[in-house]
Amino acid sequence: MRQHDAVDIVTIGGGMTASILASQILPTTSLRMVSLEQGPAQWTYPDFAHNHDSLRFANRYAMMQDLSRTTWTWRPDTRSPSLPYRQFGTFHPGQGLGGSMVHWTALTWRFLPDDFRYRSLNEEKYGRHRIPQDMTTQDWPIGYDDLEPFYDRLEYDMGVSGRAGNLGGEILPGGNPFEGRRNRPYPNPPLARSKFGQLFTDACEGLDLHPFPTPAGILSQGYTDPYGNTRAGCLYCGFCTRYGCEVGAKTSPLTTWLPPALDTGRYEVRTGCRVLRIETADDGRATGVRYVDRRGEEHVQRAEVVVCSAFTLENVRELLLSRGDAHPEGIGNDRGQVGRNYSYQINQAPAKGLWENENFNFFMGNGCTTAQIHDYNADNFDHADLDFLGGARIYAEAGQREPISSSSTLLDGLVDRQWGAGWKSMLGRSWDRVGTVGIEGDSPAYAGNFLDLDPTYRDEWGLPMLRITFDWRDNERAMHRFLADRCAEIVRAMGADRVSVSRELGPYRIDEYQSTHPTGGAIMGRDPGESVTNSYGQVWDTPNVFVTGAALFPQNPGANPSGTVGALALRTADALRDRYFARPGELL
Amino acid sequence: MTADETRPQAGGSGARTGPAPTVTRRSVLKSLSVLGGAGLVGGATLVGCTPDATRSTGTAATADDVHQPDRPPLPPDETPKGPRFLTDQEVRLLEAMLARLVPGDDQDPGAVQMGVATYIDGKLADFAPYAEPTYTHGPYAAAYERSPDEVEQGEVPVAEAQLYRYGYQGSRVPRDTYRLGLAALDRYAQTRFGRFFADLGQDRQDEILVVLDDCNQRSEAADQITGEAAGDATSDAGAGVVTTSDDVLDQAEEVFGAVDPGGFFSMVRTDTIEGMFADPVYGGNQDLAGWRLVGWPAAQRSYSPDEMLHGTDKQPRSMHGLPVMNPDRPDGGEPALERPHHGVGEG
Repeated sequence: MRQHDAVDIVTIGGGMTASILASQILPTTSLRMVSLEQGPAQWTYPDFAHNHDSLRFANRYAMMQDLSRTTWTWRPDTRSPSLPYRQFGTFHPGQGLGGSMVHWTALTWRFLPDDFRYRSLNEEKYGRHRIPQDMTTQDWPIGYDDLEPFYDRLEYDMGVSGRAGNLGGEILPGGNPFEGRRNRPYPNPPLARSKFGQLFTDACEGLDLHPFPTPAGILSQGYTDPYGNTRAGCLYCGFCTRYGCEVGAKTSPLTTWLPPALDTGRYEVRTGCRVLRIETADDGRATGVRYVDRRGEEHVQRAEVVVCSAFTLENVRELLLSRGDAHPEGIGNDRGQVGRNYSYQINQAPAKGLWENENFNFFMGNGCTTAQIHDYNADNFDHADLDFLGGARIYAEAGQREPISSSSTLLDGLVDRQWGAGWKSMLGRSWDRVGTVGIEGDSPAYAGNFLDLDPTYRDEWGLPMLRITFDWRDNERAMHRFLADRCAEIVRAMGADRVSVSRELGPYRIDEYQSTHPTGGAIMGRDPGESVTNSYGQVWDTPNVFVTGAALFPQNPGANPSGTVGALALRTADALRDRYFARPGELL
Repeated sequence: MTADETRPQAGGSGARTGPAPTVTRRSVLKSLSVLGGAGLVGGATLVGCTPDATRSTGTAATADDVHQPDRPPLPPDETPKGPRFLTDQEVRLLEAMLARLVPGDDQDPGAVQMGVATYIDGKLADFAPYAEPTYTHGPYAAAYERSPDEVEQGEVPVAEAQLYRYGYQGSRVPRDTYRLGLAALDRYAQTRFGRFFADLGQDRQDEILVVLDDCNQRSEAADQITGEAAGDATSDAGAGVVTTSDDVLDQAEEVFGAVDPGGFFSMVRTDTIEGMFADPVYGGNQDLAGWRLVGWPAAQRSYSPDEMLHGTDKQPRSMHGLPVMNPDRPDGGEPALERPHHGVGEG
């Protein structure tokens, strides 16, 4: 066992939030920080000067966590057995320096003001009886206005490309009229528009909806960020999600926060390291972490502050694995709150169109070169006469299509057999003529959806896997039907020659990709009796342990999480730097 | 794998420890000064690099210019030649199946002409057990119809109708699925029509594949998909429709025995799509026929906003035809995007 000199901060994981903390805390202090990353080091050059190999990156998951060593288990409910997530399906957590943000799609949202008060808003507007008995959604401990300055900073760090919809209270044409009031426009104009996105935009305008370009953490033009990193604009090469960007146009820790953090000389990332547990002293405070390196040697890194900055699921797991005399059920779990409010997202493409004589060039661009509407998201539409709460962003299929990962299901609903002469000839004719309109719907929290340790399955290091208990409920099924009809209206308005609609959500299944947006399990709140951390991610029962990332979300809104993950990390970084180290204790 | 072993010496710190860098085939960057510096200089008006614009004056890239990151799974160093895992007889049977899954001829290549059998054989030869990250430890699931007691000790009982929701739960590795599945395919052809599969007429072969496909569909709760002509009432049926009777499907499952006929069919179909559309370095997609079929230009460095709206003339190009990005490194340019940085190394 190797003992390292104590540092001020140690983080579990070397991804997005760890690099944000390091870049904000280290340059103006003398603090020292270490991050432990399970994957390898990787950099834009030369690691991503790669060939565009869709087999390797899309089907063989070159950027993702190595499931052969450790994974998670799932069951739909407590009556059913849990089984391991043996191969990639529902979500794609990454590994390697920079984490999942290296292979992400880069949609960069601010959550809507209403998202932060899901429970109180729905109760006030529609009555308590509209909240199902087992729904455990709760308000966030902070509101949109608290986060606005941090969303703003994040967007300028990243060089987000988009069009403002609400600038200082003024609603601007062409932007998202439902967004919260912003103090500055996006730092870069929207990405180039795709043909399909343009068709969607025109159709939505004809339906009196409010389409706007996708806000993207991908540069639409050259940009020098506040740290002095100079980056190129997007080449629209068509290899984006699941790949590292070879020009650094797609924002990641590698392009943005790691360089200023490493330049201090007081930040170290140790790769190939798997954290086993957070160590605690008799008084219950954390003293550091125990980890194993690539050769199997055990290390202890002592630190003043421990940050769980890994993927959502692994952060929850580390808390539960860190059992000891002071915290017999795990860190943060003295009141049984860890694992609660696990939620996900309804990411589906319920309406598909075939245009017999139109090519859309779907293989160009990236996952953000498209348009969106928020008319049916959150409470942007009246739910008084509907049989569900919440909603979704609706979007036109974007670019970056390639045949290996698209051909298997592209013609579902359009030909009877997905093989044979008929399938082949239609695929050849229509591969670039079939497009979908999809939804990313919110996922409320329920008492029956939660995370705990699996009693049976263990990983390569002998530690219990995290068990996910999760399924959809009636609210989401009703939401899906309503939204599928809206998507179908839009596809028809887009002039498709044939339309295929899938109205039913169907049971949740672990083998179909939906999104890498699991949230909750270590949620933030105002009251230690109904949350694991305060609004800074500081764990109530172990105040020198912090959690970052989407595990903090009380429930999951209908938009991608990374914008809010980043804004929360910037807020936590400021509090750690300016207040915590001056006077260690609870940040209220 | 240590990154240093296959990397050109990068400028800058040299702080990393470990063996001195050695240059290998993958990392040779030659004849590339023509692309030097394009695009990666600072400034708010900069829009990417446009390596394609310089191609006409440049030296054509060769296989040696290919830069691959070291992270697995790596493509094979050489295109597989001749069967390495399957027997000649198995290849013949597999190709008979492929010829029905994606039919073709010399004018209009199908899976056989594209070399999909070579792709599949190479995948099976190169990856034991799996080409993708897979958790392979038990206990494994076993389906029950009425009571969990039907399942043997040491297996996890799952209601048969629920098992599909858990995704891949098999203990049988792809090599065995192919070996046993191909043998079972012939057994089933004998049972149904008294001949080996490859010796049957196309209609009979299709009949058999429909049964396998339906075995696969039956194992899942078919999603409610309705197809319709635009603005019209529901007309044609969607995917996921099982047209075969339960008796026939039950018989197929019985004859296949240890291998699930639906799972076998699904694996071959998935691998066929990979073999049609993966880069030719993997053995399939010969003459880029798969990419030509769907009209995909494949490996390109860039498209312009105008091409996004109006289309492109770019022709399909394999990875080896792709110019290397940022070939002028490590001698100049912006350091922010490059390794190594002080402070990152194996722990």
